[in-house]
Amino acid sequence: MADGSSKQGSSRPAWLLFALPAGLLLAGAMIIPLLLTFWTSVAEPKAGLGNYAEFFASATYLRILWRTIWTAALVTLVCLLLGYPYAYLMTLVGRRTRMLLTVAVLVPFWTSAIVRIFGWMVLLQPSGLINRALALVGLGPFELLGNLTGTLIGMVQVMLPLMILPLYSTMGRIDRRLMVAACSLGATPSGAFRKVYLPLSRPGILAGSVIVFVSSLGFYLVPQMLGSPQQQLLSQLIFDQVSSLLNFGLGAAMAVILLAATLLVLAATSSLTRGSSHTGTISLSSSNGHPTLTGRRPLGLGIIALFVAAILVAPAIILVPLSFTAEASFVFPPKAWSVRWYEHFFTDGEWIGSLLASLKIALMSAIIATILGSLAALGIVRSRSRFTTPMLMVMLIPRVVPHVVLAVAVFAFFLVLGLVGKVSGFVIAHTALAIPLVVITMTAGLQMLDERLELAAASLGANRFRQILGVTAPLMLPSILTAAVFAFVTSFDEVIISLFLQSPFLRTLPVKMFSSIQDQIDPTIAAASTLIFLVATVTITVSLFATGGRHAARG
Amino acid sequence: MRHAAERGAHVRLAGVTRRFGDFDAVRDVDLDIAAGEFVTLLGPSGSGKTTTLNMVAGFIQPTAGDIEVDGRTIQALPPHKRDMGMVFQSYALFPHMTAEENVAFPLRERRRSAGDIAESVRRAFELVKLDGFEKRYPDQLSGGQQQRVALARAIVFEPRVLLMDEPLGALDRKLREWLQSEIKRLHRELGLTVIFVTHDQGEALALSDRVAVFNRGRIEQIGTPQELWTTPRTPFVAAFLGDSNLIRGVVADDGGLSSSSRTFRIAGQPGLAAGAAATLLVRPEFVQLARTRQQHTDPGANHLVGHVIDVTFLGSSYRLTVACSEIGTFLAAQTAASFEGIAEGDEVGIWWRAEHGVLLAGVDESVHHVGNRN
Repeated sequence: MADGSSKQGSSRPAWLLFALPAGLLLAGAMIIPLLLTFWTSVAEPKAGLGNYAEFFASATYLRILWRTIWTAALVTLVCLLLGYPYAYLMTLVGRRTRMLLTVAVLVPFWTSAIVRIFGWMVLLQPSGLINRALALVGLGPFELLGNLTGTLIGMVQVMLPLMILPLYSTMGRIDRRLMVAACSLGATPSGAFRKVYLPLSRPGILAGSVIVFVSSLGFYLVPQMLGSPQQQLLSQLIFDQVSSLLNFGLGAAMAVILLAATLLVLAATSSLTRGSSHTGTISLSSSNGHPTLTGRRPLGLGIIALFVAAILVAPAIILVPLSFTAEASFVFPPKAWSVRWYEHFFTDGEWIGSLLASLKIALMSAIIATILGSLAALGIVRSRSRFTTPMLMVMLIPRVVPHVVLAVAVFAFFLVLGLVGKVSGFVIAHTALAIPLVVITMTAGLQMLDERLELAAASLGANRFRQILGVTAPLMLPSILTAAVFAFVTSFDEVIISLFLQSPFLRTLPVKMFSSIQDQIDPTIAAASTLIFLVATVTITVSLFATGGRHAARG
Repeated sequence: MRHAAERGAHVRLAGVTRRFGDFDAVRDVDLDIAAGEFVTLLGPSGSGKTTTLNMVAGFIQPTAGDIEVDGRTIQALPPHKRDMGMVFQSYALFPHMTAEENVAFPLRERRRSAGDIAESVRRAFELVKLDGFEKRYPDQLSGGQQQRVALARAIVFEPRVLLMDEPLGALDRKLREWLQSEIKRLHRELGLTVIFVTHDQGEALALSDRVAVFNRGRIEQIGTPQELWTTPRTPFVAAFLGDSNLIRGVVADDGGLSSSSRTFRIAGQPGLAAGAAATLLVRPEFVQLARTRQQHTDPGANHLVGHVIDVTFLGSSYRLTVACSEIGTFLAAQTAASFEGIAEGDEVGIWWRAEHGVLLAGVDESVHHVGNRN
């Protein structure tokens, strides 16, 4: 029908020029530092594979590597066991409940890592809420902090959304009538679930497990703050080698090993996750569209879902009341209320200084990343050349490489360039980190945009510039806003690279929080956390309204 | 139409070719469209008609050949300078603008004054009979209303050429027929040159001054709807327009057609060389039927016998499918008024007069042998 519409037109490589600025920034801020890390690992302190030999000869290091893999596997398993019923329930309930469940899943996304972890510290401490609740039923007290349990709880909370979202998107596409059909053919409900539903949801299980496992390999903050110093994971080892011991060669080798492990897992599973994307259905069957097809909702599912929702939300929420305590402790509930910790936050030069630094850096990073990333996405989508996929892969590097690896690579490179302790250093690193999110968001948006609208504008007399200004940009505004919010939050929350780039005169808010948790701990941190949570929530809510509002208003 | 003919432009395509990789989407198309003429590009999907339209609009550059408007080449002009209105297949209305803003868009791009824009937009809405819907957004309009907004937007800036890419494809039949008459009326009133793309032969016949039938990137035949229907030049055109019976064979010594079983008489055909491969076209409308196997003695007629395997009532007419042992299934049409109550299973005699058979050069393997329904 649309024969010879411009869709099948040949590639237009000139469009790729749009991706050049973002590509150059990524090259300078991420790719060259990573390549230098490879080089360092075989060149320092002396040329050769000495660093790798040292790593693989050391029983301690190997134990840490093994522990890292084992912990990641455990996190993946727990996430799957908790996430599967949760995602399944999401497909069964009505629109309103599903909305609530979705919001609960998204809470960890917009709670800053440091805030989340601090929330867990408060909840899990020996006299914390959880131990006191257990005491009521005659259990405990348990050691929940400073050991594997703490690490596990913290990591599972962060990883649950990455498990639940792919599961849900797969399950949402499973035609529930298939279960009815299976039952009509003689299968018991549990048999139908096992033989039909479970196999059809396999793509989601695989995708979720791979993402969770790979991401879990690179955790630094959670084990550092909730785990035991005697049970280090690989990221912590790398961090220490570079940051405290300044052992760049060995640190680089370890970073390469972590990166290799990550890429190995991705490569090994990519064929598994790609080949099985069919879900055996033709339509996007809305699960609550047909009453008779709505599955039963066993009570057990609801209990698990409540438990999961509590894990997701609790550490973010707990800090809000605590920030209003009148005491200098974290006893919950507070015996008396006050705003003294907010006063302290806004009058203390260090706190307010770090907030301003964070806002400034996040704003600049968001603006630059949104512009460069949007241009890159436009170039990638429109060029349709054979470089499209490689370009997209390059853009995604900062998301695939473990954060600690990026941090040590950037640190070593920026030291040479004199960018450590400078606002420009922070902005460059954070922009590079945010570009992938902008590119993903904008690419998705641009692919949905009907290119014929631009052709229509052209046929009506609009030149290239007017087409983009009058048609493309307004239609893309929701995506642009979303991308900018993502970029802002990415920079505002970033901890690990910032830990390396900080100076006594330039600290971002999360870095300041990290260090004050380590030394003098008082409820100012709770006040700061609440403020961060508020900033993120307001930003995201406003952008949701701004993007969804116009359509909603027109019904 | 004539009184306004000066508004339309003369459009000429000469040797236009478009290659995608090693695939010729359009091959050597020549098309001369008079000022104010309504020409339809008709063909199955993938035949190159939309690619041709997109080249006229400037969205696709020809690999070879030239496109002229009023004798001047427009090859170097970008789409926004070609001054041609275009109605897209799915309308391509800007979803973030109201109907009115959509229609005003081309005028704003041309920096018309506000008063001028308001007046032109008002007239355009009147012209497509959509006054009262100006403030709606596209997603608040029905398919037919969206279509008319798209039409208003394409004509509001008074282009001299209007391009339409399957503009009625997404609408139901009733609405489609009404909009066809509306498009015809607009064409008459505005005197534009219209290039219309469709795969629907009925639409092409109903609307056009002339139709260009596309097949595999080439124009098979250009002509008025009547010419194409009565004297198609190729089996493809015969099969694509209207129902048809096509019998393959070779040209006999007497100018008739020899099929595997027998020779059919054909009157007054311009000579094809005897022995050449040829196809005989008989329109079902010219096929006579009789229930009894009466011996028909008309010497100028061709006779067959068979039994009826399907009778379909189409409202104003009946279509009968007859299985003939000699050549396979054969279609015949009878008006409802002359229908003789023939039923499935009846043995019937079939005949048609020699002058109603049309001999076409060549045999096209891609078209069905006999009994082509459209």
